[in-house]
Amino acid sequence: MSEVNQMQASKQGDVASEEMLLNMGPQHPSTHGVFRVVIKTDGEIVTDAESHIGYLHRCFEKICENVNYTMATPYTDRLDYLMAMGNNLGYAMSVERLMDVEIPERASYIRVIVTELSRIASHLLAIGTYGMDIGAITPFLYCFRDREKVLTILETICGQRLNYNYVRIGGVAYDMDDAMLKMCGEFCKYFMPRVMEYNDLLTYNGIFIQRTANVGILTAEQAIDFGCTGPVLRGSGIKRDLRKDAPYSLYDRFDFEVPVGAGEAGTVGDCFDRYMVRMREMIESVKIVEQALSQIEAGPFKTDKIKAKPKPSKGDAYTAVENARGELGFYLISDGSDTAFRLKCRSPAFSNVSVLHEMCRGAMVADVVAIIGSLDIVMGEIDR
Amino acid sequence: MTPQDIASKLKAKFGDKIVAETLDVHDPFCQVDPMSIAEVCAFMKDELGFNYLRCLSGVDYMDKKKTTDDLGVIYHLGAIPDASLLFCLKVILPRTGAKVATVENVWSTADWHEREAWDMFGIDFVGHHNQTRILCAEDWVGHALRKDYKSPDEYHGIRNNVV
Repeated sequence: MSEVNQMQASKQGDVASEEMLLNMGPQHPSTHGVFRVVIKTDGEIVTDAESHIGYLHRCFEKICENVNYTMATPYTDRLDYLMAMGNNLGYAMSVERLMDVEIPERASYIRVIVTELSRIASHLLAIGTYGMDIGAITPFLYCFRDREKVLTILETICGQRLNYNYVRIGGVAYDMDDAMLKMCGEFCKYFMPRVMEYNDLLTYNGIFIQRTANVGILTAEQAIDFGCTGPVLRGSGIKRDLRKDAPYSLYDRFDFEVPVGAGEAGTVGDCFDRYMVRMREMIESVKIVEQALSQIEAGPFKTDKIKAKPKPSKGDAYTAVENARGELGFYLISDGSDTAFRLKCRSPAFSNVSVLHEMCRGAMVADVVAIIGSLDIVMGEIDR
Repeated sequence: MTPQDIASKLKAKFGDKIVAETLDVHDPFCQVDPMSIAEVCAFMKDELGFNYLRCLSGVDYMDKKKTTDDLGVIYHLGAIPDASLLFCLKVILPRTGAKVATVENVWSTADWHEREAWDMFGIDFVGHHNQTRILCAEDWVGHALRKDYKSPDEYHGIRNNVV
């Protein structure tokens, strides 16, 4: 070995790796909103990550202390704007619980139908954009094609595509006529074979599996410790779904499965498992809609016991529903007036994203995008 | 385990640190001494199986007539996967110098929830490793969800409260 070569070799042995701070966001395509992560890197490896949130904060909870219960409903639409029906439902149920009113059966069926359709639309967006984050653009177009069909149905029902303000305290805003119910039935028939199409396009794609399997592993203990819920928790192999475990509305009348991650492509709790849980949940949602459509009967679509300005009795209660991202809870304190004394919103994505630094530690820099995408965050409800 | 069982177990273990109990409401709860909340929560998790903190909320109890000006922290506990195991703990704090022990060592999810309660109510979580604002900007003044909060007239050249 020549002297020069020897010198080079000894130099390479001494190469000290340097810690570098990498800023990602707040404007970054894969963060689905304004979300910032500061990543500490050692070469290509992430040693630590710190999340910064609050760029979309508008103090939803303070607004609700200043407007009456009915006026607050549209603000709940803007929390998780991808599944606004679920927010409306959670909020309406929290007020109804303090009022002790019975909701007519038809109203409850309509609520189930629109929430499950919403869940399908939300998961379609999650899956489509997740593929795009990782580099597959085609599945995104297919998912949006079908999401558009759901949004058209919801628009026919309530006149809005995203921020519905449809599920109201005491029932729903308008009745669904037979033509609308038929539209839902037709969509269910259309949608089932489409899931196979997504699977062929994305799920069994070798590159997609390589990018997601064994990446961002979240153990069941970590997930529970950090309060993760929804597909993030179920992806870690825990069977927990409030629709099944603590059935609200009419969910105890339907027959459906709760899909959990099983480490099909790699390890339990990796990005692929979370993705797969969402894919399977869409099929279960279709099953629920079909059963609801066959059971729904004529009747009133809202209760006449609630006035335009509801006044719940004094007290407090925490009410939770299973939203597309997990447990959406509203802690409501009423002082007996027509305005909430305090309304705390426990948003699922807030807790889900708080575990990000644990999942990023030890991952490659390029995988951070895959991990954030698999959490399916919506900044509207994290920042509130 | 009924709420009655849980309350009596807590009383047997902690005695007068359990200040009060109310069980005939929507969410049955015990009121706990603020500085003992961490021990009580650790007991709830390790011995009674509450492995999941569902929600941690700050509250300002000051009403319009100002009969009280206390602050509070409400802990809604649950378990995974057993969804029937539910209980609630409350602490009541004086408005000035509101201090409560942190529970972030019991459930990691409490970290961000406590930061939010500090940001919005100015409740000091003693022992928290990183008690900084989370939703508002770092240089924000005041705690927005307090009932006597007034929004600033100016923030970095942005005028507010202009009629």
